Amino acid sequence: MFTGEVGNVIVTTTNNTTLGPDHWATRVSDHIVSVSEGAHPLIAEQAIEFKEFIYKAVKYYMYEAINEDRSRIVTLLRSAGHNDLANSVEEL
Amino acid sequence: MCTSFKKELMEAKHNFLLSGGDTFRMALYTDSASFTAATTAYTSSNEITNDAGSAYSAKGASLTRIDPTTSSTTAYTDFADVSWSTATFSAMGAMILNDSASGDPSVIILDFGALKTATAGTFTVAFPAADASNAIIRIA
Repeated sequence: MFTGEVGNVIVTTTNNTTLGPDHWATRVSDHIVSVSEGAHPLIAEQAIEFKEFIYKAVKYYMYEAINEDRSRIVTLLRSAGHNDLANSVEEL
Repeated sequence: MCTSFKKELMEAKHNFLLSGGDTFRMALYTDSASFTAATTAYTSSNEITNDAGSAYSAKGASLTRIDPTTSSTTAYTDFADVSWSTATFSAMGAMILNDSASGDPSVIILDFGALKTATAGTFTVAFPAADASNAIIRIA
């Protein structure tokens, strides 16, 4: 006997903003580490610690990547003579 | 899960492999849509439209497939999360459909539980953990 089952999705929306690194870091850590309900408490504790580590590392490097990309845009804008725009992006 | 999809699995009409698989899409629907297990294919009736901008287009977004796998006696497959940016629209549910197969057959229907709205923002659908208990499509 075969049974087909469908999982539950989570919908997240924003108004006048984007989701940001917090959301995506959470999604990454959720994808990499999941803890079974029946896991031994010690193993579960280790897995949760590891998940938290993944979350912090991903979030940190996401911000680094965003800063790098903004720097690139600022440089491109300045070299094209758009100093006002470059200053605005720099202040983000 | 659409009953027709179960039959079509036996007819080899759906291929979920990452490499060489079919194109699956997620279409979004308003709260006027009424789907059941008897739903067989994509329809534009009650599909959402943009309240502003052009983030959403008919048949929604293409999904990134993840290779089907097994755990114990359960087989399951997964997709990468899907997002619409600079989105201004509302949706109550979704249909995953096979855009490669003739007639755009439906695979599963998703109910968001409430009307979800994004305004000049991001509308993202996160798929559950890819495991035997939670994955989006499972055959046990």
